[in-house]
Amino acid sequence: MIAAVAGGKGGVGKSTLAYNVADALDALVVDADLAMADLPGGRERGPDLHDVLADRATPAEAVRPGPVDVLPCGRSLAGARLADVRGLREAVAVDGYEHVVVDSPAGLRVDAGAPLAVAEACLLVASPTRWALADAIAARELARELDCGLAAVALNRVVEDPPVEAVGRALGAPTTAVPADSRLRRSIADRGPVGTTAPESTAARAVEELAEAVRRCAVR
Amino acid sequence: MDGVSFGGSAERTFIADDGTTPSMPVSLDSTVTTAGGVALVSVRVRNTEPVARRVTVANRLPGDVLPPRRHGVPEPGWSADGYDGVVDARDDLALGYACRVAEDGVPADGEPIPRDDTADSDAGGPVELVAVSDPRIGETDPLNAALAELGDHRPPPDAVGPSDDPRKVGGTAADEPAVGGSGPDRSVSGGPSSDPATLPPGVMRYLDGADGRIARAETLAGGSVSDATAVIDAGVGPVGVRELVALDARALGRIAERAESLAARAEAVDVPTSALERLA
Repeated sequence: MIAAVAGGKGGVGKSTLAYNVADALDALVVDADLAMADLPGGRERGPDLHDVLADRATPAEAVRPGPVDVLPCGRSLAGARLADVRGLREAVAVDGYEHVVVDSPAGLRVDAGAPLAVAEACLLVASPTRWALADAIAARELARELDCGLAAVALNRVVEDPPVEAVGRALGAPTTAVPADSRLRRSIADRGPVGTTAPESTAARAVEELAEAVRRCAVR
Repeated sequence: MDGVSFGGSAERTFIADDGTTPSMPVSLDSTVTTAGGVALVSVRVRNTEPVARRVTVANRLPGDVLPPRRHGVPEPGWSADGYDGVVDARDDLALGYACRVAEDGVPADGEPIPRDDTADSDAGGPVELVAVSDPRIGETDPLNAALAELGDHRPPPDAVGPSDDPRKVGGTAADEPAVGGSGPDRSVSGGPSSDPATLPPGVMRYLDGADGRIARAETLAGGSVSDATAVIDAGVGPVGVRELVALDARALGRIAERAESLAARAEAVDVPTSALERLA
């Protein structure tokens, strides 16, 4: 099962949720943000997604094992230029993983569309503001155009009374409120997914709920 | 059910007209029931042919399609306009959807919902079979759709600049301006070197780099197998070389144009030295 984490807008926490949901699914997380990667590993030596998409490495070679296995993306603009997104389907199909979570970039260009095109379902991440919702609706339309089902919506970094139902209605999918939690925010930098560092927290429960939505899509 | 049932059904036959195949009878049955301002439409698409057919069924009721959902996710094939899917050979396809209309089955603009029993004409029923085709043709890869319809994500070549090692470029592009990036001479005194036969060092470096890359591409294209293997063993992928050389070709073309126009201007300009000396 390949699940894309998308959201239209940048900075809403797509990568953080992708990393944590991948942990809950025991999945590989692929950083498909070709121009502005932010999952760990892309600065280290060794092949990354740019190399895989430029036919210089196999996907398995580029995987970095860790608390959550990551297929990182390079940080260079030249690498982004040489990366051919036509190879994304093969790049994310890494042997040995039942689930693969693909962290998509913001925007509506082909690098944002390609993860949705190769994924069977997506999680949409939105911050609980009106303008972020409009972006999430645009991303949802893109997902629909590309035959990618919507597994769930994550309303990220909510502080109080999130409009869960209204967002669920607008986007037409079960919606989970993910609280603003510093352990979640630091999870990528500390390489400590919230399911490990704070398994009893509301944030971890929200992440598990999102993972469950992905599993349900896999069963269908 | 407290709504009005329109009962009855009408059967229409759709003849595919794709020019190559003779008649492909795929027929459509539909019924509408309204309840509480929502029209519930059930559709049966029947394929009597021995081959599977892709069908497109469009909603004709005045309202958006509310498709069937599972866990909030619309079932595959549904859109705001209707349904697109495949009917197996000699099989039926049962579909159902809802459509919000006003109470009593009459939409806001007063026009009654088309009844099935008036469905003799094409515009009659709540749904219309708008296309029948070969399912093998209709299968497009969504990845191709994304590539065809969405804008290119790649940073423009000017932001990257050709380089031997693409990994280095991200870091060096800023401090060492690449092609066309050095801009106009920073000061008059620091202009071109006094010896017209020597190229400025930056230009030299760039041309040498391009020379090396093109030579390697030529080796891969027409050199001996052992030379080409040596190049590949040095960690140079053929695809990367092709891309880099393509970038070089474009950049060199632009440089040639720019150099030509600058040379023409430089030759044409005539600074009135004596007049300016008098002013100074």
